[in-house]
This record gives sequence, structure tokens and C-alpha cells, in this order.
Amino acid sequence: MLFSFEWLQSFFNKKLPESHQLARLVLSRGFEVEGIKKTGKDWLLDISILSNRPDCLSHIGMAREIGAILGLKPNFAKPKAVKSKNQIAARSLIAVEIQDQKICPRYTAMAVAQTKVKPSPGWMARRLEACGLRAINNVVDATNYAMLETGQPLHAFDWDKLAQGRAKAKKIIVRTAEKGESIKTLDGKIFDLQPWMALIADESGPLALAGIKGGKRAEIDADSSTIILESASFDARTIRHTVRHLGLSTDASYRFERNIDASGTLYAAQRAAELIALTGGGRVLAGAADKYFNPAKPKKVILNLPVAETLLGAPIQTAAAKKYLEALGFSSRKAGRDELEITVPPRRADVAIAQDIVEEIGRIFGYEKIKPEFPCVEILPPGKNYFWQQKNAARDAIAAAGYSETRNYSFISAKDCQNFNVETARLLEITNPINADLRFLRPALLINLLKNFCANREFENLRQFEIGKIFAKDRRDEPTMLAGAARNSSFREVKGALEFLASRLRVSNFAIVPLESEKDPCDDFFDSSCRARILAGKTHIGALGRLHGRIALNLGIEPPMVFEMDFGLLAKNIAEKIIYQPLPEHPKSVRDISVDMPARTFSGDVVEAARAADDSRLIESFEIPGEPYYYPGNKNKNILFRFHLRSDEKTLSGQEIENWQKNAIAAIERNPEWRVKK
Amino acid sequence: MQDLDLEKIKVEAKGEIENAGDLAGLVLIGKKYLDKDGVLGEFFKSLGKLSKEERAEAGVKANEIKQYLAAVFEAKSGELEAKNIEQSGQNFFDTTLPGVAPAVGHLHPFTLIEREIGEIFSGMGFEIAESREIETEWYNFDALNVPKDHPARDEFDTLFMEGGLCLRPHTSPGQVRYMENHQPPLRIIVPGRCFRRDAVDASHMPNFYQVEGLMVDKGISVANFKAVIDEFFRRFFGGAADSKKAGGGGNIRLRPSFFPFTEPSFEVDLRCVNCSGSGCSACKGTGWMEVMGAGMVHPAVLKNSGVDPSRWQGFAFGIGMDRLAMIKHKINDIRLFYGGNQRFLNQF
Ligand SMILES: [Zn+2]
Repeated sequence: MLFSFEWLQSFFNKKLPESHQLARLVLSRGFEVEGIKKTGKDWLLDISILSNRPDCLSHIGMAREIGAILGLKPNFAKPKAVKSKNQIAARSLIAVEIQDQKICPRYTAMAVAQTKVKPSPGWMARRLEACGLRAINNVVDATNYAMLETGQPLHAFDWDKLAQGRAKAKKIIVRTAEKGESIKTLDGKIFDLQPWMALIADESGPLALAGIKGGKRAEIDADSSTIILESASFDARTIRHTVRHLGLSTDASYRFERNIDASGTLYAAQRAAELIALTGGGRVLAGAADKYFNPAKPKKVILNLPVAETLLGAPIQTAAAKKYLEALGFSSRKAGRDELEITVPPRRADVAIAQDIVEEIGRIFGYEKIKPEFPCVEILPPGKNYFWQQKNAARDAIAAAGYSETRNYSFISAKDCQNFNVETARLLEITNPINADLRFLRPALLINLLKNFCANREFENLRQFEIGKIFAKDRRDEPTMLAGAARNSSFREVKGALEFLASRLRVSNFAIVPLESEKDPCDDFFDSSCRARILAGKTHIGALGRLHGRIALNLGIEPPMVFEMDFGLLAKNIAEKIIYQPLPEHPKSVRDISVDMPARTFSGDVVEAARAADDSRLIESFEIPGEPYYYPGNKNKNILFRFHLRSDEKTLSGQEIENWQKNAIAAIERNPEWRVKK
Repeated sequence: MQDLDLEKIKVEAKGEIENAGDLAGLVLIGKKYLDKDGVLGEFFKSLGKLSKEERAEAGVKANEIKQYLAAVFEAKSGELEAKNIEQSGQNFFDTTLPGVAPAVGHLHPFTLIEREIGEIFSGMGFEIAESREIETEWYNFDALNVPKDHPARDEFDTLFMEGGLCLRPHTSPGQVRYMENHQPPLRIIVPGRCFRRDAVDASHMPNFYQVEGLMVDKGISVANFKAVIDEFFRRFFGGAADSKKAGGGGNIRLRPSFFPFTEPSFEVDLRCVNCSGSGCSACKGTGWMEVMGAGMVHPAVLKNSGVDPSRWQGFAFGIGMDRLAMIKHKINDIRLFYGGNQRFLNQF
């Protein structure tokens, strides 16, 4: 809200610090000052009022804060009293009927007669416009001026335009809307109303959207002379729902949504009436038609001073605390040893418990005066977060394998779904997205990760990964995934990287296996001719392979190698400790076996055959040093297998190795399609 | 030859060998002195004319000199050979060729920052806890004392889904979830991704990171909070922030604020790490940077989490990690963190 320095100053006899210094004080003791600017001779302070402090959405409220901060007493003049002797009472012109006291706990109506509607005097128009409100005429401006001063929104009706019922006094009715009712507001817009919305009406229909905006029908115009002033309190929730439903927010609704104090309506109405009479002449009618249901009893809070001191961690002088509280309008009395009973002013709905009082004392005292002090607690080391550590270990391993870490959006668009052939029906959808690109939650990390591959074209060997959560209607557990992609890479390289990752993480049952059948679960992100499942034990945790050509085409990239796996499932298989394996005592021997086989043979099957025949368990490991050689015609290929042999018991003799090789060859050649080259 | 002065031969031969300019010249010198027909050879032959005693004595001396000269010859020949190879270029290596980088990937700056934050707080006894990204309204608002139907709820700019679910706009629900399963004393940080209904620009993202902090124990105070948080910043920014004294409080200032889940509540400003508080463009001339919201845990939050507020009290805070990373690395556009620009990642 914009505050006029000159207006604030008007409440004090003593000179306030200059505007920038004042702003710094307000910043450190109360509210954030967003900006200061000069306008004419005045300075404007743009102060951001916290949503629990509607009492400060007014110059009086801010002056009270400033008074407490500076230790100065502000003067809030009472509006001039209207002598009721020989005067027509407001009640003879207007009666108030509240049909639902829940939506309107208080309605105060005052009247000004025989006034003239005309442009506001310069001082009033200037202050309004400086604070961001347009000057309209003295009556409307008086209501706005009183609002900026007191915080209480007001509304003015032209009495002559109200419906005349049987009684002499015209009736203002506060009620909920009827089915099918609508209202034309001051700006000429028509709103259809819901039956729960609060209305100000007369006996012939709606006059105003309660607490939000006035209606056209009883609008003040140049000929208005008898003015009815509304100063009321409305239910914050009803106002808020109506504002949201109609998409109509005003300075009045902004305040009512924050729960305006009902005890201040009469003061504000008197102030507005005084201003109308001052600027347009006429007479303020005596008294008010004021319906006030169950005025809340002042809240009382017990403050235990030693408890307050342990919360702030600073000594509090009782006298000082009382002084701060009094300046803010709280009263206090001794309630017991070290205890004060604090009475909370009705405008401070935000204060309900002792901690709230401690905040008031603490901020006016000044948080900078609290001396930092380390807590005295047991020096127990913190508990371990294994999953956190495992994710970090995985990041280090996969980065060591050449992949750079990315963090990508959690959101995807309908177009992304199309590109990746993802059905939107299974996705979690945002009901209030910022825009269509951020409508769904990602069901796989690869979708956004691969977009990076469109952008990073200059990196020929781009390798990136991400660890993050994915979402879907049937995945309320928010699985943490690990996905990666590699440009200009081979299946064997990616497989090697993942095996390296598994070994670094101590997952001994990690395996990458061919699909067993077409129905085998494996994402359709992959090219069907180059994909495999990732297992941890028997659990299928993910897949790797070449990106499906159609998806690559949609993205406009060459298909990279990609993988995505459930990291949570992988982590379940991480061995906590490294258990040392005794080092081999005997030397190792190496034997190559070169095998011709049909092109569609899995090399793994050949190794399996050799292992099956390895009765004395001599195979320590094997490798395929080169790439398969395809014979002309591509029907057959040759693979060179290199076996590393070792015995736990002895150094192998030439004869023993010879025998092993014979058995292995025989086992391999038992398959009529496989031939060992001699 | 008896008159021949062995010492003279030694000096002359050594001089000639050491002055040889090339291998061919050296070989000739070698022949001249060391061969059977050379100067020393002739000397040995002449020994036959001497008496037995004289012969033995002269022989020993001549052998010593021969061995000495052979060693000098070898050294010179090695030196000339090396020179030869060098000159031919065979043994030349261009050490100014650029190094070949190992194909190792880079970690995201957030990972580095998360680790650093985790390390500092772990050192002060805070456990790292993580929490859900999709929350119910209970954990996200109600349990945290955020009033229903109040503008305070709107301030979170929450993204909603069907079934009363939302994407957490802050990491604070992690406080409730942790305390449901752990009674005080407790100290945790909860780092994680959060979401808000913010349009993308240089300083806003619909997804971003926060680090929640929570300490609940006996008599925990604002003074304790100031010491812990000041120390965190002192460590995190190293010498950049005012680092006179551990927990001295010079790096931060607290301003009153409002969060429904803390009372009192503060906005925490960090003394500008760029200008140390004198005012610069990074801090818009104020000398301070807004980096977190914090406060003393509201008794209602403790109660809603199953902790007795009459026995325990504590502080909580939420740090914007993206902002810390931007301040630390002087990054001016938050978008760089999201979307995997490899040139950007290569710097970390
Ligand atoms: Zn600065």
C-alpha cells in the first residue's frame, strides 16, 4: 500500500525522521518498504503489508506502528460529534436489516443531508491520487479518503434512489443473493450471482456486492443530495469466494478478505460523514442505524516473562515490554509472579497466543539487539540418510563414466506426450497450470532430458543424465529415477557405463538382459532392434537401448543411446559394506576361442555353453576384445572370446588348460550352428 | 719408452677425448690411445724390457690409466650419441601439445551446493531428511497452521491437482512428516524441489529448490537461530561474508515477517557478499540480500505433528537454494539451472 509521508506526519506533533530513515525503521521493525518516491512536496512510501495485519492497511494503523517504533504518541482526532438535539436522527431515514449475521456481523449506516456533489478540494484529491486512487467527486472521495485513513472500506448510496417501503425509513437489507439474481456494478458490468454471495439490497433488489463493489442503481451522481454511508463488516470467506468466483477484486475486498475489525465501523462512518459535510456542505444526521451482533469480548493473553525470554534468548525488561505493548494499543496488568495479563485490541485478530505477544515485543525491541548464542545441546552426530548418500554416489559414478548431470522441468506438455507417444490419461494433471506447456507431470525423466539434446547440437559426444522424481496416476509413491542419454555412443558403451555404476554402488545382482518376449515390459521409447531390460536380482528396474527412430524424428535429432531405471529399486540392492575377497595365489592363463555362428546368436549363450562345461570352475572372467565380424551376406558372424582361467588351488598345467579348452570347444560345438575356428 | 711419462699420456688423452667434436673423431682418438697398437698398447709392449719388479709396478699403473681413460671415453661417447639423437629429432617431444581431457562428466551446481549445505549442517548435527513433492492440503497447509480461506494461502501460488493434492510450494511439510515419526530433540534439514505457479523469467521458475531447516529442543531461542544461521552463511560464503567470528551475527539481519507456521517470524537478509554491505547493484544498493524466511516454530505446528509444545520449542527456516547458487556463482539467470546447457554444466 502507498503511504503519504505528509499524511503520516499529520498525526504527530513532533517531526518524524526524514522519509528514507523512516523507511529503514519501518523495514527493521514492521514491514518491508518496497520503494520511496517523491511526489510534489510529499514522499510516498510503498509498504508491503503482511496478510495478517489488515489494521495497517491504513494511515492510522501505520502511524500507530511508527509511534511504537519511535516511542512517539500519535494523535487520532475524534470526528466532530454531531449534536443530536433538535436534529433529525439518521434512523428516521434509514433502517438496517441483516438477514444472515454470519455474513455480516455489523452494519453501520449514517446519513448526510442537503449536501452538494462536486469535485473534491485539491488537498483531498491530491492525497487520494498520490495513494493511487482516482478522485471522482467529494462524496465518493470522502469514502475512499476515510478508508485510506482508517482502513475501513465505506460505500455511499443516493438515498433518493433507494426503494421506499411502507415505513418512513428506507430499508437497507443485507442478505445472500437469490437464485437467478444479477447486479450491474458501478462500471456498468453485469454479474450473475450465486445464492451464497452476500448482497446489499433494498426492498426492490440488489444495491451492491457486499464488501466488493457498489451497484449502478443507487450510484452517487451530480444531483445526489441525501447520502447514506455504509460502514460494515463482512465475512472474509464469503468475500474471498465471491472475489474468486467473479474474478473481481477491489481495494474494499482486499481489506475485507483480510478480516477487518468490526469495532471500527462507526468511527470510519463518522469520519466520512464529517468529510462530506466539510467538502459539500449539508448536515450530518445524528446517530447511526447500527446493527452489531455479538461484539467480540477483548481477547486476553497471559504472558510469562521468563518463557518469553527463553523464546527470544534475550533479557526482557518488564517496563520496556509494557511500553511497547501499550504503544501498539495493548493494555497489560500484572497477573502473577513474572506474568502479565495482556488485553488485545480488537483490531489485532492476528494476536491470540503468548508467542504472538513475544513477536510484538521482540520486533519493537529490535531483533538486531538479540545476541547470537549457540544452542547448548548434546553433540550427537546426525543420523545417516542412506538414500541421499546413494544418490550422490550414483551421481559421482555416472559422472565418472562421462555423463554430465542436468536438472530438468518436472512438467511436460501435451505436445511432449505426442512426441513420445505417452497417453495423457495416465498422467497427473495440474488443474491450474500457468500455461499449456506446464500442464502434466513427467512420467519419465527422458522426455525433458532429451530436449537438451535438441539444444546442445555442437556437442558431438553429448552425454547427460538426471536423477529425479517421476509421477503418474498409478505411481503415487513418486519413484526416483536415473535416466541418461549418449550421443555417438554404442550399446556396449552404455551397458559398460551402467555396469560400472552398479559395481561402484556395490549392486552385485545387476544385469542387463535381452527381452524374453515381445510382451516383456520395456518402454516403447526404444528402438525394438536395440533394447534390453535392466534387472536387479529378479526385479525389472529399467531399460536401455537406442531411442526409437520415430521419437528421434519428432525431436529432430539422431537417435542417441538412452536408459532410464528406477533408482529406488536399484538402491535396495546396494550392499552396505565391502567384504574383502582373498587375493588369488596362482597365476592366470588366457585362452582365445573363435566361434562362427549365425548372425542372430547371442554371444552370451555361447559363453553360457562354455561355462556349463567348466566343471572345475576355471573361468574367472571373459571378454570379447573386438567387435563381431560379419561374413559377406550378413547371415553369419565370427566372435573371438577370450577366457581368463585360474584355479584357487594350484598353478594350472599345460595339460589341464588343454583339457579345459577341449571341453569348452566340445560344449560349444554341441550346438550344430556354432563352429569353433581352429 | 721407459722415459714415457704415464701421467703425461693420461692428461693428453683425457684432453683429446673430451674435446672430440663428433663420434668419428672420438673413435680415432680412442684408437690412438687405447687400441693394441695405440699409445698405451705400445707402452705395454715396451714393458718386456724392464725388470720383473719394474714391470709389475709400471703395469699396475698403466692399467689404472687405461681403465680411467676407457671410462672417460665411454662418457664422452654417450654424450655425443645423445647429442646426435637429439639433433636428428628422433628423441624430440612437443610438451606444448594440449592435454587430452578424460571423458568425465560434470555434476550439476545444485548437487555441489546441496552437498555443501548438507556438510555444513551435518557438522552442526543436522540430519538430512527428504520429503514428498506431491502433498495433501493437510501437510501443505492445515498442519502448518495456514488458515483456510485466507489470503495467506494464496501467497504460496500453489499448483493443484485433482483429489485435493498439490505440488508442494515449500519444503515445510517435511517438518510435519519428520516430527510425526521422530520426537525431539531433533535437528534436520530437508532439501528438495518445490513448485509454484510462477511464469518463467530470469529470476522465477515453476520448479525450484528449497532447503528447510528445523531444530526442536529445550529452550531453543531466536538467539540460537541467529548463531546457527550466521555460522552457516559464514561457512558457505567463506571470506565473502563478514567472517570475524563464529556465530557473531554480522552476516545476517532479521526483519519481522509473517508465516503462519512460525511465531515470531522473520525475513533473513544476508550481508551482501558482493559489496560486504556498502551497497552495489547486486543488492540494489541496500547492502543486504533477502535469502530466507524463518521463525520460531508455531506451537500449533508442533501439536499437529504430535510434539508437545509445552515441553519443546525450536526454530525453522527455508532457504532458496537457487538464489544461493546464483549469489555464490554470480549467475544472473535462473533458467540456466534447468535445461542442461552443456556449456554451462562444463563450468562446474
Ligand atoms: Zn551489494
